[in-house]
Amino acid sequence: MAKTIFVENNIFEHFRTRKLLNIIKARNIIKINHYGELFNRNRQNFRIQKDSLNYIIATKKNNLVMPVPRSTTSVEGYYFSHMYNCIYDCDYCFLQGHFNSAYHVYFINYEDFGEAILNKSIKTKTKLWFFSGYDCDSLASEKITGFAEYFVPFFSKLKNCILEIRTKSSRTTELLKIKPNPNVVCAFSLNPQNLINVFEKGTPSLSRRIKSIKTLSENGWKIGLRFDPLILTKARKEDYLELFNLAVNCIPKSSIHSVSLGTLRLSESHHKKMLKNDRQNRLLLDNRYGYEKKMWQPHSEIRNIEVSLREHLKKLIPQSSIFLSE
Amino acid sequence: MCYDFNLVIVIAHVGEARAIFNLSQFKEIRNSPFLTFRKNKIIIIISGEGRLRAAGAVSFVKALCEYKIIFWLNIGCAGHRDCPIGTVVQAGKIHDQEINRSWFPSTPFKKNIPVVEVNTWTKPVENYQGNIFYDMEASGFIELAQANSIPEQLAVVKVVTDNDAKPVQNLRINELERSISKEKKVIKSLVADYLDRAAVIAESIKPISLPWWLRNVKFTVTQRNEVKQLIYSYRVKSKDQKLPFLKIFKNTSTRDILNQIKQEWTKESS
Repeated sequence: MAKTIFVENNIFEHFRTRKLLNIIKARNIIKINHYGELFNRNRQNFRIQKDSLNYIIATKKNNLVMPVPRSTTSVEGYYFSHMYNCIYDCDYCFLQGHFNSAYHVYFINYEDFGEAILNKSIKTKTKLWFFSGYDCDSLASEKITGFAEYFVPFFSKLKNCILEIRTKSSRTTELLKIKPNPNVVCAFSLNPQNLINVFEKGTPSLSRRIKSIKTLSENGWKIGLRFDPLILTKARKEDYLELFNLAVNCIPKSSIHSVSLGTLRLSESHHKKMLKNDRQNRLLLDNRYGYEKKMWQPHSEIRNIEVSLREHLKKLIPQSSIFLSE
Repeated sequence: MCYDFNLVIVIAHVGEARAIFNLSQFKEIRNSPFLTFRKNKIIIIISGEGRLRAAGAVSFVKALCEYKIIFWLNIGCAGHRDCPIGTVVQAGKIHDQEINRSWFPSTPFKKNIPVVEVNTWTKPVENYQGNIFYDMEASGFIELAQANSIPEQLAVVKVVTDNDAKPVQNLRINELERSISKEKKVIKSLVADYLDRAAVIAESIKPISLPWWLRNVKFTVTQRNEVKQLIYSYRVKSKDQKLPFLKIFKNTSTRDILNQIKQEWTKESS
């Protein structure tokens, strides 16, 4: 299928737009007024669009920095999205139910994001977390976006802020060119290889992610280990125990900034929309999960295993650096 | 087996249609306000010139479609400042100059068919400005066709028939037809591609219908949705498209029927 890049009129000559257009090398470029007229249309099918992706280059004008939803993490903080949607195609990804469209949207007004982050940070003296991988994979498209190249040095100026770059990517080339910053955590989402094979289409293998963790740690980067989501349908408890040992012991403890564990959970509305779009998704139809308090989450049988996994993790890592998502 | 659908092709002039398709292989639908031809699931409707006629043709042809899922294709001629006559393009954006509205159809065709912006005007354009393609039907077509359709069910293909060197005012209709006729092979292959892709999409968006033995049960909307969810679940897990028959007794409440289905299908699929 012919790939098309839609570019907002007012940023056609912007240097980041030119850079993106050069890298993507799409022959078909169409000017639009606002990304929403294409991205937020009704009656779109995320699954079908995922097979024939187009790109949008835009600026984000409102809600540049948003408070993190309470259901997704146990720490208070903010998230910001320099990109909507992800190059990977994980079966459990909530973006399928969150956005109407699967098109990749690249926001290029990094300076505006920076200003919004600065405004939040000067209002408080307590530590603030900023998450960048909520609506996309932060590192996977680094070659195109130059996100880390801009934001890692930016966060070195903000002493009370921590930036979490959440990723499944094993790409380290660009990060290794940047000076590591103690306020920036490279957080890797990890799952056993048998789960990656089934549910995380297009993502790097576990061994490649571990290799990247080692490389970054050796180069002075702080590492976050994210065992999130735990999917105890295909994987056994033993698979996770093995994964914990492998991940925690592959780098010195001093390089581990934090570890988090989270159960597979989706809001009821996201789950319903995802099912409507993808009727072949076996994971979303699993009987061991169900709706409870407006969330689609595991029944007690799976939760009990997760509790014992947490206990095991506490033995490997100091409890102060473990964060649990409920 | 793929889910059935209709492919509706909207063309302004019968000559343009004749230039691409062998209409003698199609059956003409008589007593219709628009000249209409049918061959299996493909319907060709001749709308006439202009966006209002195109919109009228789209709303009329919906009544002739026997399937719920309709794929739409507008084929026609377009003008451009300097694009060579005979260039085939697909519309990635359609903008109506009069009402200042835009639409974004899908671009399902091969990589070598350029994706362009098509501007719809009410009159033939005399001054071709910017890198834009001009036509007279696309906005009317898409405005009506998009109701009940996802963008992937809509496509617009145009053949450049006029440009600065050969403006539309100096062209006769048979010259337009000849330009289109030269691209007959390309357009026919695009239609064939579109049909293949439509079959895949139709399969993934086909509506779920209840089995015959459940159709007369008066479920509430919530219950009906739950039954549909159970059907999805059963089909995915058991990989069996045919649902096992359950005997429903008279005077059983809908809630009991739903529970019975839940128990039986969950048991069988696992």
